[in-house]
Amino acid sequence: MRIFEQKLFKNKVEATGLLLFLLLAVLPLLLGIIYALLYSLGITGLVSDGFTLKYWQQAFTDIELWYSMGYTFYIALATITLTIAGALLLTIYLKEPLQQGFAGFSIYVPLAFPAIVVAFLIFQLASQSGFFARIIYQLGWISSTAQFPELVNDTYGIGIIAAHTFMALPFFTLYFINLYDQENINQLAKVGQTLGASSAQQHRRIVVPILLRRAFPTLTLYTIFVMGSYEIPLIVGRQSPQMISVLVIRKLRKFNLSDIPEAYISALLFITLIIIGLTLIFKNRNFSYDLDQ
Amino acid sequence: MKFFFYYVLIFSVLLFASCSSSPDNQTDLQNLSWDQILQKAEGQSLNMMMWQGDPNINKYMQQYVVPQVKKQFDIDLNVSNGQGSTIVSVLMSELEAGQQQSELDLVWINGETFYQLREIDALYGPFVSQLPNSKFIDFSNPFIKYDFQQSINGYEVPWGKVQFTIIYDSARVSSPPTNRQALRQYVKTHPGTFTIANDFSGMTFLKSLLIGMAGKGTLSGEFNEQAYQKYSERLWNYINDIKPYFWKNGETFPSNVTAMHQLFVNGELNFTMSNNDTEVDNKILEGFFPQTARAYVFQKGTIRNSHYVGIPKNSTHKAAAMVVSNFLISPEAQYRKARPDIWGDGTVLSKLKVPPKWQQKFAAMPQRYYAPPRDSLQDHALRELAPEYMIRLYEDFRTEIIQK
Repeated sequence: MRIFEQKLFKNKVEATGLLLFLLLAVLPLLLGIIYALLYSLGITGLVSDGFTLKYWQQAFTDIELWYSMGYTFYIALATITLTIAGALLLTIYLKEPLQQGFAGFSIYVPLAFPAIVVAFLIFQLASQSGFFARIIYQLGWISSTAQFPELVNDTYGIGIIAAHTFMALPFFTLYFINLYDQENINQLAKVGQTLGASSAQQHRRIVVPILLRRAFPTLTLYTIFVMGSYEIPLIVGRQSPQMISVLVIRKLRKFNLSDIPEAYISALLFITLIIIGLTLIFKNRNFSYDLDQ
Repeated sequence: MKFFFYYVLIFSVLLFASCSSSPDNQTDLQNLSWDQILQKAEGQSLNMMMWQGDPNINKYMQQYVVPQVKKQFDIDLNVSNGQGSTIVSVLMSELEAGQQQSELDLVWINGETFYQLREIDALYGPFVSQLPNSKFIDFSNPFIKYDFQQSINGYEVPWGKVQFTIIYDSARVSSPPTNRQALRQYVKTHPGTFTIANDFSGMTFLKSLLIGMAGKGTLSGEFNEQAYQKYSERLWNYINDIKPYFWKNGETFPSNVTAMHQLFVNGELNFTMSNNDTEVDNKILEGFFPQTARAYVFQKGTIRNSHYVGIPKNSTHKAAAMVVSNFLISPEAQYRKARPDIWGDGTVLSKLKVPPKWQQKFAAMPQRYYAPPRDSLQDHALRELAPEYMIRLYEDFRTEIIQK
């Protein structure tokens, strides 16, 4: 037993640190999950009538919930794909200008915007009565602002994706630029060049793989962050389908109090899917920054 | 191994602590005189949660009510933002956690929230008859006595009285539709200019249509499943028929009436709606609505209801909450609130019961210009239905309309 304990913690400081982490970060989450589980089974809650599986049955047959999950994944993947593409292009082609002067400063500006402000900005700019629609109308390109394409509250979540990309793009551009310097990618690309690699080959075989590999954990976590976003889909999303956070809050605040367990189930199912996804993704990886992993 | 033992131990203690219930800690104020209540309230600090989505309402609270209750009763009133659903969530979580002292002491509620709070037994009462100013209220008036067909039974203080109106821009709409058939005609010939908010206001509009279809009085009383099925089917057929001509082809709906107001002033919509019949006046005075905005009601009528304030059962400042409630229904506070340039909220006081001086003041109140006079709306006032109708309309609007 002693041997086991010695293996588990290198020293007392590490053991205390881990204990604090478990107490402050893991325990409250675990309690929350257990509470949600009890609530969903009718075991606790002011309006519960005792143990029942009916809420779970309802949830599994609720097409809206699954549709909402799919929509959430779609929004997050679309955002992260656009962000990666944009950030890579900016890093590869505009790395030098973005590290100095006005451009260098301006890339930090979107980072200062809270999500709710970005959502309102997108709404004011891109709605059918917004800034862009009015300019195009004034230019005479459309005969009424209603002809302006639907970019907010739209079927494909364009407004939501645009708002998230606006926030994520500068962050990942700066992150990639930093990685570029830290990893001496420039030097590696030069080695490639010496060995006869064309510019495109250097990007495809050296720059992009190294950046993506190093940024993989952060990109994954950011994807989950986008999935859990609330204000942006609330303001620029539509009533159906809704992203999972908006759906959960709506169910939680429903007029009918006996529907509250369904909100907890939606959240639990979402957490479960995320954990399964993370387990599969990181099964053969660890969070070490060693590129040999 | 020991480590895991301690971890599980702490975990279990916290879990049980969070689930434990607690005894009721009511302080009974029912045997105290009003002077004793005033005395008890002095120097107390009070948390009131209410909807703060309107600058006029906020101004009324912050610039008038808060300083007045401080000056007159030495009560520090803190107003925080939260709609009915937030209030229910807060009080429900407190009760579930066994918390004996509520964060909230006074809440602005109406129909559906009252129903929910009574369902979880979160309100203190009965206390209304103890308030001296309650003598100015006519409790036999069905629009006051019943909140969504539920008798208030002294558990909430009437605060204001409003009627649902439809608002249109007279510059764009020459003769607004005043019945269902005319609305259908209008929507089909002016696609994209009409919609319904997916919130309390939108559901109130649907409720008015439902009552119109069923006939006045058919749906009054307790919830009737058969009647609901019958008339709601007609309602959904009607809406689905005109939905393709709604804003954004009826594929989505504004999440609330505030978003709808925005679309109205931007010119996307020709109509918006309001639960407050004076809102059109104060929004024009604010400069938010165009001068050409007007309010009206359908021939078959719209819902008129009252809104109320209640005291959470576990409030620790009930005396102060009662004193503030009493102030809110004083003739001076009600008069001020009813002025179209202040808030425009209809008074709950009976003009026959207030002192003569106030009768004159109420009679000479500045009139509103852009909505029909309140008295003329009286003939088109429909009573709220039982809360279950609202629950079902919310549910079915999603499944029958939004998701179709």
